[in-house]
Amino acid sequence: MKSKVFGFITVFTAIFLATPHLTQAADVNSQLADFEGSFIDLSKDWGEAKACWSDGRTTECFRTESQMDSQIDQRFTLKAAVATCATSVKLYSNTSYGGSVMSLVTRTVPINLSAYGFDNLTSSYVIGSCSALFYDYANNVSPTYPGSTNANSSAASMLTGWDNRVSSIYIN
Amino acid sequence: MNDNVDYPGMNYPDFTAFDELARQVIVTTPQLWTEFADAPDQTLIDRTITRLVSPTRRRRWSRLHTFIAALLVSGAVVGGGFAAADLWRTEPAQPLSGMICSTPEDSGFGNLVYPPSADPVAACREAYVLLGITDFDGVPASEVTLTACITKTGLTQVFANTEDVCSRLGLAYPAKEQSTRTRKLAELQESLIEKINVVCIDQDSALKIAQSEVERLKLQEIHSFLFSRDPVGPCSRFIINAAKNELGIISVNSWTFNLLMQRVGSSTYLNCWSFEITERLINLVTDDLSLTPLKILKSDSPSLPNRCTRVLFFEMKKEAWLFSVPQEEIPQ
Repeated sequence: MKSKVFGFITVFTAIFLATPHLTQAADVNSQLADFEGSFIDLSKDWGEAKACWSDGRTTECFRTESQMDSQIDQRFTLKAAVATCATSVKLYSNTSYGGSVMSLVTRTVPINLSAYGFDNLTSSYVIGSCSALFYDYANNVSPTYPGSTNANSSAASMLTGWDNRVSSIYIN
Repeated sequence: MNDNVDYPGMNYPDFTAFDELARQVIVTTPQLWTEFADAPDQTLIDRTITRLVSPTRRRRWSRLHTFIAALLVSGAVVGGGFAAADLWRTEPAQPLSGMICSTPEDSGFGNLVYPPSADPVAACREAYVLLGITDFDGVPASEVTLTACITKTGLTQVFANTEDVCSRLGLAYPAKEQSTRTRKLAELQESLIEKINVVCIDQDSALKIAQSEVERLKLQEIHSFLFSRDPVGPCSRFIINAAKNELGIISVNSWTFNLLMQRVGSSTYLNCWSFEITERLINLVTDDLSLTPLKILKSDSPSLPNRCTRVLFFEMKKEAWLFSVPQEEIPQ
């Protein structure tokens, strides 16, 4: 009971203490969900809800997964509009193709390596059947890596000054 | 407690003052939020919310609602009280960034980054076929159980594991249906790849196309802009940051000019050429690639001993700047 009273006081106090910072956090996480016309707190108790959906802004819950699926009428399949290369560009965190490896096949869009935890890590590479370009900065911002990244090329180490430096790539 | 009782002495000063006070309270009393997280009481919360949203204060509802949600989020984070056993779905934070298909440890692929898809599992199976990944520890890749999760960084990752892997890892499951906004963003990306990335147009034209497509798709919240007013090269690419509602246009060199840079660059990084040899190399490669001859500028005296040539290329200016570096920078 003591705990509940303390919790109530906390809520009560908090209502007066709205902050922009926390408001933003709520928008991002959206843990308060609409369930059959009322709000439920997903972080505490889902109640009778069994399936919830969020687009990052609003959150809605349902009693069953199939109910959730049928309620959302905007059925849409994100087309794999972005082409892929038949063989991947492989980036290695160590020289001589050692350490961690990441493979990329997505063509015609800049790929920021930070999204995959591989920013400034490349120490060797193998290019597949599609030529590529390596960039010093995110979003394909120059300078570009001056070594060969043509189709089927490879390098057991980077050119001088380029070890652990590539931040984005583009596969043609 | 009487739910209809208002609280004497409760006044509502301006939110700015509250904001600062709240910040101080939260920063200085983290244990308070922990205690709350450990003491869930949905009924109490509901009563509290209902009581404070009286008709005369209706305008505060959104703010209060949002704030309480924030409080609960904070509490959940601190207390770790997330209901993992239930099915929690969400969209990736960056729906256009692609996704990760896990591969067998001995395959040599590591994390495979694959284009985004509304059906990540099917897309990864397609990737395995494409890349010749045939099995996972003896289980055929076409039959292995795959499960998609949304990672804590907002990416979709497909694991070769059973359906409960997301909840075991504390991750969300991907939404089965994509929001209208994501659908439109995907259409925007598809359109701009064709109109900007796979052709070569200048960045001002690319920006106009991007703005036109944003307008056509009614994505008014997307802000289109140039990364830099000064173009690097004659071609352009676009970057969509869905989280920030930004569509940036960058200027890049033409593909042929990149070939020139790579051929000359590889040679000069691996050899110690004089200015004269480098100049001849540039002219030869330029001619071979049918590029407009470049004006070659030499930044310092080529007669310095034990120094090797490096080159900076500027496609828009049609220039190549030669400068020298100490010989020890050349790998032996």
